[in-house]
Amino acid sequence: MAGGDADGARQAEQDRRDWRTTLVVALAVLALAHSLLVALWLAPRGPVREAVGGSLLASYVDPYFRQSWDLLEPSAQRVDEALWVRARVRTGPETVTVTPWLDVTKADLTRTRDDVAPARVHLAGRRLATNLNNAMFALGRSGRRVVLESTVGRPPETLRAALLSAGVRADDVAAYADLDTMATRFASLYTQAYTDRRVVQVQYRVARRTVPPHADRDERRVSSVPFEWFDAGWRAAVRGSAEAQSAFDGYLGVDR
Amino acid sequence: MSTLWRLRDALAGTRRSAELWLTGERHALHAVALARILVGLSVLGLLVTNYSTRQVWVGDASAWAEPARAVSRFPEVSLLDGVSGDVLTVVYVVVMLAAVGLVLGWRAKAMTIVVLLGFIAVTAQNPVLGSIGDNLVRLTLLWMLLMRTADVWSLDAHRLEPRESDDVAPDWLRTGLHNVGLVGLGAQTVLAYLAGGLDKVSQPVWQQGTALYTTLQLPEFRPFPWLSDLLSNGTVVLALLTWTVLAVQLFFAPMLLRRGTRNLVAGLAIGLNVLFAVVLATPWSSLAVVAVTGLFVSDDRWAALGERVADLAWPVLDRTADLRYAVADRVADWWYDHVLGLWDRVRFTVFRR
Repeated sequence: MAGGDADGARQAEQDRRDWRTTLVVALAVLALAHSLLVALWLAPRGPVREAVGGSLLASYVDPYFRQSWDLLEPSAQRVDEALWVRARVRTGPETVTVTPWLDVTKADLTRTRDDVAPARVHLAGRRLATNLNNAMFALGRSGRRVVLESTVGRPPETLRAALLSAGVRADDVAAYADLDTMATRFASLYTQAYTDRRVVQVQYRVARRTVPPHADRDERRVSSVPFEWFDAGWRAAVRGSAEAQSAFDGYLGVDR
Repeated sequence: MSTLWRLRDALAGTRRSAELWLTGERHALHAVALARILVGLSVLGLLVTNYSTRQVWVGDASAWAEPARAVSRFPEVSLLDGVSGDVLTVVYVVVMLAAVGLVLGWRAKAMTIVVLLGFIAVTAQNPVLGSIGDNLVRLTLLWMLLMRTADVWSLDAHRLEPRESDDVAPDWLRTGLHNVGLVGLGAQTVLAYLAGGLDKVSQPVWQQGTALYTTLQLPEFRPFPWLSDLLSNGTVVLALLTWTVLAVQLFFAPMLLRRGTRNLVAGLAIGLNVLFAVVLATPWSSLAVVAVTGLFVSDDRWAALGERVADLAWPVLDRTADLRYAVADRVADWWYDHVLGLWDRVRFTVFRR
């Protein structure tokens, strides 16, 4: 009888261990299946990815497991970009004065020189310039002309309609419109920090130039290559809250 | 027929090995502890270096980035959306303290959760200023939720009375989850290297060998211009560096299959990341990459390195013991005199005595 009890207990212990092992193995298989789904999401378009469903994969991966091909540095870059902003400030009941252009990217670079761990905010000018340059290229020549001719007082909806009628794709119009809003707000806070007068309108311009080839390194450096400029028209300034303006003033080192 | 039997036996053997590996003992405890420390330092470093400009980065003055924030799908964005600058500062400091707790291994599981939520909430406020390293930190913290990251090299491991109530799961499940988390994070890391390598070899600038030159000529990637020029101007150094980057990222996975090549590729990858951390001024994302790459270095090596560091540190700690105790006494006095006194006053004001 005692031997039978012992056998039964051993069997029960074995069964318990078996289901525990099965559970852990199943979890490991799930982890590997998850990795496979992420790999499929990262993979270029193809029959396997299409079979699983691109949008289904995206909804699974986004946002927590989102990643890109260039998750690891160094990524290849070869375009130098710039963002300049300026403002029209109120100087009298009926008069405004145009400020000089402020080179946002150059100021950021000055602040980050010899800094091995620069603050992210110093990337703002460069990131806006990169995104705007890409958006401007997507707009095409006719779209860029609309952007240049767009002026203050023109509602965003009108700008969108004008871009659409210039033959720009709806996605590209939406992307540019968001960036235009961001650049306008950024330019408003930035230029207001440098003047005691009220900023009423702002304008931004972005530029790009390509690093010359390695073979030409002794003759030409990127700093000697002229920028290619894209200008936007004047926009109504967006007044930030007192806290936002104060934070911007502090960041730019402006003492009021 | 005998081939089929042999295949079946081999599969059964592999399955038994996998089961034993997953359920037998917790693996890579030192490597995982190091990953916890380095990821904690990565988050802490990012928050400290951005502290003075936090309001423009993610606070009141980041209103300009609102259109980008509006399309973010992270629910954590709402934690800080529209809050005042003071509330942001409080949350920001709490996340910094949690990162310190994570580095020290103090209540590591809870700290991992706080750091993960706080990190997403802060960085997702301004997607325009995001970094590719943010993704890796988030993914690592997510997998670390399953793992026992504080079994060694932590305050939790040195607690006088380990509290079993901290762990709601039984030991076999904790071990299993740790190993599953290790498999998941390992697979994620291999995927990151493979994708990075394939992405690079598909680009003409990497095929021509000039990708690093053009990158290091751009002003924002030249915090130390002399160093960038040193690495990118000469043909031999540039070629060596380019080939090493490509070989390490592309062949990371196959080189993990043998112990010798595994240590070599992990060592090279860590060395490259340290180099680019300085050259490209990306220390915090590089630290996160080093953290996950270190998982593939043998745990014995990390344990031996830990002992060597402890041997070096002990004499220093011994010599400074009096000073440390004096500081601790002063802190304790200040705590009793000011904080507890103030707390008592608040308590007696609010509650009936």
